[in-house]
Amino acid sequence: MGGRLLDKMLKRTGKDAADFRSNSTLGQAMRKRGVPETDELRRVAALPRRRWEDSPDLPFLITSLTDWLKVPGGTQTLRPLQAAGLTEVFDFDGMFGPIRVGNGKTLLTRLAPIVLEAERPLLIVPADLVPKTEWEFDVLDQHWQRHPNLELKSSHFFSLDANDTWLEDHQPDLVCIDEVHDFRNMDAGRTRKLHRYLMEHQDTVVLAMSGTITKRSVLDFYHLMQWTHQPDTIPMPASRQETVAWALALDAETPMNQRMQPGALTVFTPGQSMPDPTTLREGFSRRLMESPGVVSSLSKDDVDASIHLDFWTPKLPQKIRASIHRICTERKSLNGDILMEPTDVWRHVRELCCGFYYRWTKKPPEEWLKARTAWHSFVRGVLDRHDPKYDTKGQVTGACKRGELDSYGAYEKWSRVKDTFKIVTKPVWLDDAPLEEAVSKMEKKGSLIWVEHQAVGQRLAKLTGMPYFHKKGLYKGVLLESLEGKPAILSISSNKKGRNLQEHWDHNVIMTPPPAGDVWQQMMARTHRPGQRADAVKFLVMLGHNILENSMLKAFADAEYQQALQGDPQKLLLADVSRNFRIAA
Amino acid sequence: MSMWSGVGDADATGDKKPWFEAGKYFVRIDSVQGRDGRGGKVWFIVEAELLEIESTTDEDKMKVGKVYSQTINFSQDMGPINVKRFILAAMGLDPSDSENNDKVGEEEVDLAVSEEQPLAGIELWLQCDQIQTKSGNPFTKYTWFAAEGDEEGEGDGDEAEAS
Repeated sequence: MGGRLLDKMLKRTGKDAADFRSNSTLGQAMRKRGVPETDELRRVAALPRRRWEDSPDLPFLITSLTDWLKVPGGTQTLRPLQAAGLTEVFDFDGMFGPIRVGNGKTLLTRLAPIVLEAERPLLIVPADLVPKTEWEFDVLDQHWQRHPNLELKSSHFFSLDANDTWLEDHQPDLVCIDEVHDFRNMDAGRTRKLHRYLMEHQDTVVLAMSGTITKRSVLDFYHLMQWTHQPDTIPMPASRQETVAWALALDAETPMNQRMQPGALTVFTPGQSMPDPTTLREGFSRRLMESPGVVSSLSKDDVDASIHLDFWTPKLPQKIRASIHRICTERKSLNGDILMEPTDVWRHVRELCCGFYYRWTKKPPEEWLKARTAWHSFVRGVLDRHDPKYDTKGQVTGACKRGELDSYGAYEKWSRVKDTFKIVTKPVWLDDAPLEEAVSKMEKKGSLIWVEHQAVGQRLAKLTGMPYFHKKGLYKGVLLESLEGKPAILSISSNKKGRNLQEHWDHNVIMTPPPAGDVWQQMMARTHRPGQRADAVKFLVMLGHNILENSMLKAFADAEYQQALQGDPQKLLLADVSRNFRIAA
Repeated sequence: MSMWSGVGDADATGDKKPWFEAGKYFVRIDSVQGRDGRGGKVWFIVEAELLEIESTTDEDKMKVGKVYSQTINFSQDMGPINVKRFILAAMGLDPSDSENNDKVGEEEVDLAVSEEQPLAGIELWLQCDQIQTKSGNPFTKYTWFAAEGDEEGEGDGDEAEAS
């Protein structure tokens, strides 16, 4: 019945299907009838389709654009997606880029102003990525041209009342927006300002990119595509009213009782007259991604969320700093034990940065302690000579055992007594300040704190009441996943594998950074994995001493080695790092 | 059950506007209402402001600027037909064209009488003729038809974009 007549009547009201209660007769009828067929739907369905990856011109574009845009001595080459993106933004005066992390968005934003011969280009990035973008641009100077007038601003800049007139004053003719999901909310001041400017200056070219924006409601990116596309090329309806009907049928988040039947949207799923919501979404997604002016890197197995890696240096109380200093200079533990290897110092400093050390619960017998001290002094002396034959305590021990090295009786005495006493330790807390600071970095929901030491996990649990998941990843028999986003403490070794935490968690505080790249890869993959709905998964790492910074550098080096060796993308290298660890390396 | 038939037990005779007398009038729709009446009856009421009188049998009663009404007893046989004809005409479609017969259904009527009032403001012609029923009672036959050049039913129309 009706169908189009109902739509005509609706149009007069200025309302759409979503405005009618789902339990009203009219609301139910409209939803059951499905998305109507309109001229706009026919226009979108008829838009040319192409897969940029299959373009026969792509190799030529990569070569010619690289040759044009690189500087003398530059050795990098454009990636296919970058060449395709630059071509699309030029051909269509705009580009919408559902491009996930690690695909070279930064270079696209750097080169687009040159390709388009923009006079007043503007690049907008999230506030916490401005330093990283500046640093990356400096690194890229070795390889690629840079537009002399490119303005770099944060999305937050446009939220401030003081900058209300900046766009009109500066009249950017090209606006590149990375992480454009920052502008998905039309109620936000910065979005309204930018939208108003772009609607009033329709000749402004917009390049908008995000790995996560198309995961959401079509209404979230509808206005963004109005920025990047012309009315006759936009692969969305011209009116918001019609888009609402599409959203009720397409969006994953639409409650069942409000969902609209596909109706005429089945044009996107040929051969299927009653597609389920997932199939319908996939069909529309293909239509979107294959539209002119859209360059995408997404596949359904990818993780679209960005990774943000940030650091903080805790304010360590004086007694902790003094203890760390003593250990590093005297190379003795707070128990008086001689620390033979750098790794021993490393281990003790990591404990102290958290606010504790392990104290012996019982004083050893005098003879035992003397033999141990003598042996440890001998080993440290050998290692300090940097004899190429002896790099580790194990090598020194083996040489003494074989009679290749004379320990002047130290090895023999120690061998006789070492098993006569067993050290038992307990953690002693000098100050809870580092833990309290770490807890203050957590968010109310969706936040995890990862710990290396059981003592730290237990202390945090006592201070905060949060559950501590360690042995077999359980807490009192409860699975972590069942917490559904509540904050929790996780042992790195017990939880770095096997946990699928992406559904409810996207914020991670790391107490002491592991030095191994593979541990990072596993740990990050707990929350940064397919199914993660956040725009960015955040990792906030405690530093506080150069030993912890060096751990981080080693982890990065590990990751680079692993990626070069196996081609396996390392999450640590995909991360947007707020401090320049790679420069420090 | 239609949404509009679920309207509360309102007195269909309350706040009633005067009826149109026989004649030909150019009107602007003021409101379209659905009401439950006594005895299970359902009423579909069109109220329209008189803009122009082309002809009338009662010049004293029919005044430009005043609001008059047509009340349709939906429970009678001709009720749904008259409602359909009105909505088609209001939306610029020819009620006598059989191709338009299926275009008005329960949803369209629901919407017409809803608080959204999509038909309010539409201007169209009304021809009222005094006839006699088979039993000899006087009866006013209402024939609505769109103003020329005001077709909304086909094509996109030229309504202002709602955004």
